[in-house]
Amino acid sequence: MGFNALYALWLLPLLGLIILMYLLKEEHEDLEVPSLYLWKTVMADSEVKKPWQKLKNNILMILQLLAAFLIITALANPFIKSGKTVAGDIIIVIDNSGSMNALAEDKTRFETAKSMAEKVIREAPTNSSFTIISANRDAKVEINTKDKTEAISKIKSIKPGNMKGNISNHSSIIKAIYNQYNDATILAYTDEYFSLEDMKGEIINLGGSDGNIGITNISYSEEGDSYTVLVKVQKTAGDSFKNELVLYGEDELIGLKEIELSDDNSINIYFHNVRKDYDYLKAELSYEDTLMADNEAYLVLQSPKPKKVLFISKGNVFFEKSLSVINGIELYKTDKTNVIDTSYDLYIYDGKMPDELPKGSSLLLINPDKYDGIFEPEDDLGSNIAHFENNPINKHIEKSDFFINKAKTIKKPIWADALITSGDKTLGGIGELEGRKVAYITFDIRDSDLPLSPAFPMFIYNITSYLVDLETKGKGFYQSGETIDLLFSPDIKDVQIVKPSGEKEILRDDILSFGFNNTDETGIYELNYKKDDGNYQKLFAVNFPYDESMNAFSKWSGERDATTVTKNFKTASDMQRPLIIIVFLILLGEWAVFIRGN
Amino acid sequence: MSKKLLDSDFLKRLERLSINIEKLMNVGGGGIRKSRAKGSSTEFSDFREYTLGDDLRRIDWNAYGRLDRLFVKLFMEEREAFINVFLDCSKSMDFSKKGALALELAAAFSYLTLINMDRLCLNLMISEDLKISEVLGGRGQFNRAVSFLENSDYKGKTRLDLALKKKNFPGKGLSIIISDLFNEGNFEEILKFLAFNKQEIIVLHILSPEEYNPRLGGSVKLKDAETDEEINVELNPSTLDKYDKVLKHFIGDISDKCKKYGGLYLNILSNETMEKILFEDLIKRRIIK
Repeated sequence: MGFNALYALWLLPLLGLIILMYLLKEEHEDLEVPSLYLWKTVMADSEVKKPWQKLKNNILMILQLLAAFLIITALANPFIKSGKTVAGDIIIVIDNSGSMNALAEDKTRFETAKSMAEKVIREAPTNSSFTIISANRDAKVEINTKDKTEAISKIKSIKPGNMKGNISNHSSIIKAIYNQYNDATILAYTDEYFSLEDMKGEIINLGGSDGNIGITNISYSEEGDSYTVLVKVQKTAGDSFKNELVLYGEDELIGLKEIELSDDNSINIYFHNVRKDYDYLKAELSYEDTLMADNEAYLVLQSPKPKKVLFISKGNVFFEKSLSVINGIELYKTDKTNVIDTSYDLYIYDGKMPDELPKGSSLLLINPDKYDGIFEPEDDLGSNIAHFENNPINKHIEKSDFFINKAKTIKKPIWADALITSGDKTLGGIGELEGRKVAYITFDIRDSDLPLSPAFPMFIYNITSYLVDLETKGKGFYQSGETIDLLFSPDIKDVQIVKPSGEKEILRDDILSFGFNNTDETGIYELNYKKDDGNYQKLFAVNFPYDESMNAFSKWSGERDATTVTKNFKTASDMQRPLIIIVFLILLGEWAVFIRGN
Repeated sequence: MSKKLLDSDFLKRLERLSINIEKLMNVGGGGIRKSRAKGSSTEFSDFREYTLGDDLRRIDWNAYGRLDRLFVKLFMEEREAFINVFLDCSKSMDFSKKGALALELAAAFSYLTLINMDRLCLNLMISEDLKISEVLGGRGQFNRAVSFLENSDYKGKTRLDLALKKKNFPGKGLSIIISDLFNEGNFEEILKFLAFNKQEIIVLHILSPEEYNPRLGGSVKLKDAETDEEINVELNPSTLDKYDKVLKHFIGDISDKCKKYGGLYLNILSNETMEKILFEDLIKRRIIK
């Protein structure tokens, strides 16, 4: 037998207090009677059984002492050991990825893992050390301690996540920690494949194959004035399923469909005529199954109109590549400089200028061969170092330098701000001319090492998004653990994220380029931000990762599964609950004695 | 003073009653009780043949005329009874109206004695002694009896056996003991002594309701009113069960012993009324008629 909270035994001296209270309470009430003649006979009879009688007279005190003793013992959280012990340096790895939320009987795999790990810690000899690692997308060393209480409390504090990931992704960090010790033992609680390789320890497979279906995709397409929504429901484990798929537009019920998956592994369900005025949709499977997290999926509806960009060039692979990865623009290319179509949002002229500039739309003029009164040429520039100026367009790339072989120079127009300079020459600028946004670069980028610089795609992205007033619409939904890109517009600031749970997180402007990756919760995230011209809000949807849903029920052989591990590792029977029941019974008995006594 | 113990209405009702007594005085004056002895009263009893020495005045001459033989008329002898009332004056009698009831009973028996022309002696048992009244006879002595009783006081501890043995009985008679019988001496000795002195015995055993059914009260320190002795008792159901058994054995034992010596025993609760005790219980037990 052992105790998890040995310090509770310090309360034992309190038992003396109960005895003391009884001693003080012993005062008998005085009662004058005509004669003790009969009472003496009664008491003489009791005297014969004095020891037992004394015990009987003090039965309340004895019961109270016993109850108090058991309460203190219960507080010390005792356990009875059986089986073999894990000792020494114990590395406990708990998978808290999304799949661990699957139910096995009445507990989730994650809860089972935690309680098994707690038992191991409780039963370990007092000189053992514990390193606790939680692993999902990232591996996190939660604690390294010799204090069992601290270790158990840390285990208890690990929260289940929805993120994608498994322990195998983090085998290097586990191995590194393992190698710190001479003789460590790894206990890995997971439901996905993991190999210990040459490390000592056991993998406790908590996976199962109970029935489950999940929503693995949700998307929409435009059909006239409305949307058609496609929801893909996939059977991830089990034989056949009937369920009910419900589609909500924000909080409004849009449609409900009965579904049945028998032989098919997946089924596509369409909802037609979905109004366009919803900010987001939510699909939900009504009936419970093993993994609940994948029973709902969100989708943010976005503006369907991408910005049209016409790239007029004889061929510039660097530019083309950079433009092609920008979400939210439709890129068109031509080598004809004189374009009549004026429906494009941005015209990029690379080397060649048209006879007449298109009206109204934004312009990006690269290495212009004519100036047509817009620019005032200066002397050409030879080999030199150029650098990005401090300008919102150059956010995150200011201070970057690059080398140019040759460049034309243009006197910086009054309407433009400098973007790229070399010495006192302006090699690139941006501004508004005659009601439209115009940017220019005076050199052929192939005459520089700029395309080789990491700053190049960011520069192209920033300048393009400014010129077409593009805000990246982002994806319809992200998966839990995925990073939400926040650089959808170069000049956003004061960003605040409201998670589905209502928790708010403020992001510093200087880390926006890293995106937001604290996307463990599934649901709709609200992003509030400021731009120069006011406050804005965007929504993002985060769904349970499709992979986790599939992997949760894939079969693999762990070195031990949850049902056999108890035979190999010592388990501790928690005595706290039985003790509390006994205390309760004693208190009932005491009450009965008290009632009878009165 | 008599009003204090028994009111006049009650006394009037008592006049129709008398103590049922068999043992009459074999010496002393005549009373109004019929005796088995033949005597000089006016009430005819029997005839018998004349023998030498008989009173010639009692020869039935009419019979002689008819039968030519001498017969003598025999008449009933009416004698008085000698009734002793022994009252326990220990402190224990001073609880829950036990003492008051005892005095009323003693007064009632005194009255019944005196109106039936019997002789009465009141005996207060105090400690180990007897405080004995003068022998009273006749209705007119009732006030003296009451006065004697009223001067009694309940205090201290009484040894009934030692006190009672100090009594000198002049002859046959009736002894009435009124007590709670919480007495350390041997009660059987008392009965034996009375029987030896040719006494009919009536034991009126008075207990208070609290003594009969003590209430539950947790831990108490019981103090003896007579001796100031103390004992700690847990008044729980088990103790009270035991008390009940001891009490029943105590009463049963006294009742059996009374029966053994031809006595009559009546257990009385101190909250009972005189009406009930005299007109129901005592008549039912044929102690009075």
